[in-house]
Amino acid sequence: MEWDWNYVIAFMPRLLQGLVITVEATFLATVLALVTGLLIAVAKRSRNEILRIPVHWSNEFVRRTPLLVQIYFVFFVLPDAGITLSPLAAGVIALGLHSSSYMSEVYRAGIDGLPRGQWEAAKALNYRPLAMWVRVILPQAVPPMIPPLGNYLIIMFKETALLSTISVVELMGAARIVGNESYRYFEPISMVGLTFLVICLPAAFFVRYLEMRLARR
Amino acid sequence: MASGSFGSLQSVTAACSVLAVFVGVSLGAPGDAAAQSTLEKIKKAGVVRMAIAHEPPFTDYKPGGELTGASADLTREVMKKLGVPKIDAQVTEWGAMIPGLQARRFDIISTGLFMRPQRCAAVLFSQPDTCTARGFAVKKGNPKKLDSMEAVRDNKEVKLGVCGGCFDETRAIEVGVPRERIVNVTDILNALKMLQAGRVDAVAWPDISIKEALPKLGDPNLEWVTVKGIEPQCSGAAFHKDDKDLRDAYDAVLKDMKASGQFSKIMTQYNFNPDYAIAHTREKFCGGPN
Repeated sequence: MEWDWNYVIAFMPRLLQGLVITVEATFLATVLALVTGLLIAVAKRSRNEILRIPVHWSNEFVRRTPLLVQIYFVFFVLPDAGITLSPLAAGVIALGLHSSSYMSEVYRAGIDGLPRGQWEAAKALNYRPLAMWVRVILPQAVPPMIPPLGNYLIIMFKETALLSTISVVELMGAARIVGNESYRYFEPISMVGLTFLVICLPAAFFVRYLEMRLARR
Repeated sequence: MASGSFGSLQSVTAACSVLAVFVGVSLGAPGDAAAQSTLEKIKKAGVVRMAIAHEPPFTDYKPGGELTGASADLTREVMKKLGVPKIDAQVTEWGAMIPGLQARRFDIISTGLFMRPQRCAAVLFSQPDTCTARGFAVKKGNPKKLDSMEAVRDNKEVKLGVCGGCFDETRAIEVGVPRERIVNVTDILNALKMLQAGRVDAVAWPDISIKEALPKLGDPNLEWVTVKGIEPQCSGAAFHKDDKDLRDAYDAVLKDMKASGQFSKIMTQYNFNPDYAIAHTREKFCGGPN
């Protein structure tokens, strides 16, 4: 087994094209996960059982089944019910909803982490509910959420590789096609790992830095 | 600002470092001190590791674990005559077969792997066994009039489903179908589901596999057509480049079976035409000696 640099140089542009799709999928899934996660977190705090209990159980369902199964379900089974999504859309929805169930927990922890006194003080000052959330609760609850959300973002970035199984030609998909054509997996798959590493490591250090900054406050 | 509760934050930055491990591991090559040839090894063990796809009628892995199909039955017979009674079949994605053979994850591929000059450069092939024409699975009535790879190329709207690393993928690229219109799938069912959902307009596959798969799916809105402008293609068993002795031993048995009529019996049982395989040699499909 030997490493062939000429081969690497020849296929790297195709891997980088795949990386663009990887970033795109991560970005779209993150937006979906952030929004849906917040809705889930708020719904789970609701006093209304008709809202809270179904949301709680569907959240459990999503978290206790494998992401790959969900991706296959959205892509291959939903068309039987008449819902046909493009590979990227199906992947983004599966990945985004999967992650939102975890992100909702981050939101919950951030909100629950606020001392009771803050809620009481806001009430005592006669804030309306909206003003209470916007001016008292969220400004204090959001900063500590940022590092764990950052970590979930990194995890999602890596999990986009699963989308190659439903014909999304992201980084991993591009490497598989390259490998299929040349019968060599060594270089393309190693370069996929290396590309993820080169991006994830600084991202992880940055999240770490944010954590430490927050801890000092 | 509120104090406390921030300290409980935990970091999961370790997640990424796991990737570093597999990059590192992949650099360590297994020192293959093969004093024994593969032929001797499988004879001694009495079992041969064989890569297959789930691809009836070439190879059909029944739910109970029974393996049938033209390629599987043929290889089983050949192996028996070589003194290897047992086959350990490993279901593998098409694109992963040749890399897996090269990495010695199996000793032989026998599942309808078509001979192509590019493949012949990477592995050794037996003499031809299963030969078929090429087919397209399409929507009923073939609304986009797809009857050749050139027709796929010329209609800019058409997406073509092929298995990654397969014969039809390579041919589509050779003919000039742009990469963006080629969709990689993992197997025939996966491909037909894509066709049903309108994600692809045609699925390129050996016609005999399409004929076998379509009734199982039972969708009246799908049909198949023969692809024009291409000769029948033959597959054979594939071996590691260093296993010439095994390949030659396999060929010798296959030659006897072709002469005795046993080969034809197995092929016709699965609706393959044996005469084309008997009439041609691998040099024709490899574009030279292999």
